[in-house]
Amino acid sequence: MLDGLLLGVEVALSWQGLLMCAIGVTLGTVIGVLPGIGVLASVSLLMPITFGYPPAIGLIMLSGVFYGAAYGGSTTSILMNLPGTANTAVTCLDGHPMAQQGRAGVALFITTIASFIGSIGGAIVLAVLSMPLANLARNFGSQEYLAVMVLGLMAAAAFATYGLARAMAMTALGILIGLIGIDLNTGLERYTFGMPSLFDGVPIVAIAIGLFGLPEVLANLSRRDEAPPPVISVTLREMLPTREDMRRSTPSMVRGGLVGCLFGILPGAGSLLASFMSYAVERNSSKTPEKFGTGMIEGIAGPETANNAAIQTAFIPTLSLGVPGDSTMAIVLVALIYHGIDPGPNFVTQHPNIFWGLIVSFLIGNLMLLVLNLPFIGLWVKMLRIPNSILYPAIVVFSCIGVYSVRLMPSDLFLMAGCAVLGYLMRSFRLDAPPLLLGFVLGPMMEEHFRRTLLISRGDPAAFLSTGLTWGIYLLMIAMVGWSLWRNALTRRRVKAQAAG
Amino acid sequence: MSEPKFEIFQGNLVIGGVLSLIGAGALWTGLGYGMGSMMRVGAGAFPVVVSGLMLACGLAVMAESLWGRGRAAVIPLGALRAGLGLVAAIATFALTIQSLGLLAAVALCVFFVSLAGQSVNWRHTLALMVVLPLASWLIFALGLGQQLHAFG
Repeated sequence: MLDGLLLGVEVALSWQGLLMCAIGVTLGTVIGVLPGIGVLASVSLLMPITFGYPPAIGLIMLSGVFYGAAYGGSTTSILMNLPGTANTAVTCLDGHPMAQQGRAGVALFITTIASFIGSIGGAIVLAVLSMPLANLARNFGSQEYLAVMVLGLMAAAAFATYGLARAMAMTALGILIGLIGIDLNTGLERYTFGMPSLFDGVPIVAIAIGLFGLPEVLANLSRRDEAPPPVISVTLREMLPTREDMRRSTPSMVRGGLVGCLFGILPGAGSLLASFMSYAVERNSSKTPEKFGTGMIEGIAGPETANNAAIQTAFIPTLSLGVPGDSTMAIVLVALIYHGIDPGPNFVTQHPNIFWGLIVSFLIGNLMLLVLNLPFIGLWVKMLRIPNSILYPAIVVFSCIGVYSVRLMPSDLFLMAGCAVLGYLMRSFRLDAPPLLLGFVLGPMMEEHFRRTLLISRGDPAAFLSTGLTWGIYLLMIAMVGWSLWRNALTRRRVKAQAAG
Repeated sequence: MSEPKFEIFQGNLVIGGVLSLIGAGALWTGLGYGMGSMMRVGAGAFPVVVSGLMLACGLAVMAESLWGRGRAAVIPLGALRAGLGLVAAIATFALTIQSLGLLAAVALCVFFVSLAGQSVNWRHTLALMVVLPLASWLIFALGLGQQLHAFG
């Protein structure tokens, strides 16, 4: 492990590594601060640009965008009561009231420190757990891989915002879209409607930007121009927390970090759920739960730590199994594959420079983010004042150029436009997009393992449940789905009770 | 004052129906790809399993609406203009990028996105139509070396 760290230092501290890490986290902060630019869409836009670099360097930059955005997102949540990214929505609940009470500086300071602690903790867990998990996964056959993917998809559907059936339908739709193109086993073209541009499949960049980036732009364009919510300004001097603030937030950060690490590793759960869970944990363990929502510092310290810890630990299944747990990690997986790397149990031993380079870059990138988000906070606050009439055309133009430059095929742009409209309609009809993207990425891999399982067992369907490990994975899946359904039912009853009382 | 909007009552019924139809269509098409045998699974087997699942889920969503959980889907009328503008912007970019080149394609794209908004700030739009093409060329063609030509 020490050798690994040294190798990682060599990669991450090279001038290229440092530069790309700095670019990644800065872009991430910008993307996080500006509401309406999705992290997922941005990373898929940036992905083709990294192809010219060695894979380690490209991944360092892309991951920098991910965790950088989590820092930036909380700034907007606190100052404008708008989540800069979905993951920091929870931070609005108590962060914005704090800002209204003149404690914006303290809230920003605490979220930044919490993000830092969560990230570092998550990175350490990633470094420690990846190897053992990879060793376990070396015994995986196709049936186990299929089981893990089914687990990830079912969990993602169960934790989706709008209900299990519609999320599962979206997952299935994503898998079907993923199957578009020529089937490598039989040479048959499937679901291409005879269009040659679809023979190679649907490009993920067009889907990701169309479904995640542009619907937000569309929603904002279709709103009447109201005065944007005022931005609360903040000075450096206001940022220092009192001793009381620190005393109250420290245990929250520890609890948040634990929740975050757990939910990051679990496939399908992800950082959004981690931050919501952490908020619930904080409220339940507080002596004054009724005060949550009025500016409780625990309510930002816990979720922010959880969110960032989960972002880092979500890399564990992606890197050591090659199975992404959520839609953002699906993009990381695609980036790895595009760079010619096969993520899986042998990844850590075969590409130690990438694995350890990434981990060391997480440490460095988070240090950079501390600097970016504390002394330079004024800069980001100014950026929130960019008018929409400049912001949205720029986003659309960059999306077009990004999608076009991947394959230089104008037809991909029409596909993106179609996805944008589809994505907007999906929101209006309360259909989740993340399960669709996860299905899109996992679908072809699942079919491969589905076929291989049957081939190896000579056509015996019992093979899908032939080992203890597969039973364990499917039982975990049933437990996770059951728990989420029970939790949803509980929330619904509470909402009804509140409406009645 | 409330915004003018479309309201689709029974949103669940409608969307469940649409999902079921897509699932059924994919199922029908998938059956045509051939199921193969259990040993050598054909190109249709996996799509049939997945689209069957989709059909079932779509029916479940429809069933929810019968249980009284039909919620209306609301689309503000402004979305029509925004959607048309956005699609026009992307389509124009797609149709001009190869013939007219990057500079013109970006400028036209900016123009249509600006029209998509509910009010147009012409000063911003004109400035952006000049600045953004140059900036995109500098960043993507010069800086990142993407294969984009300034003029056709």
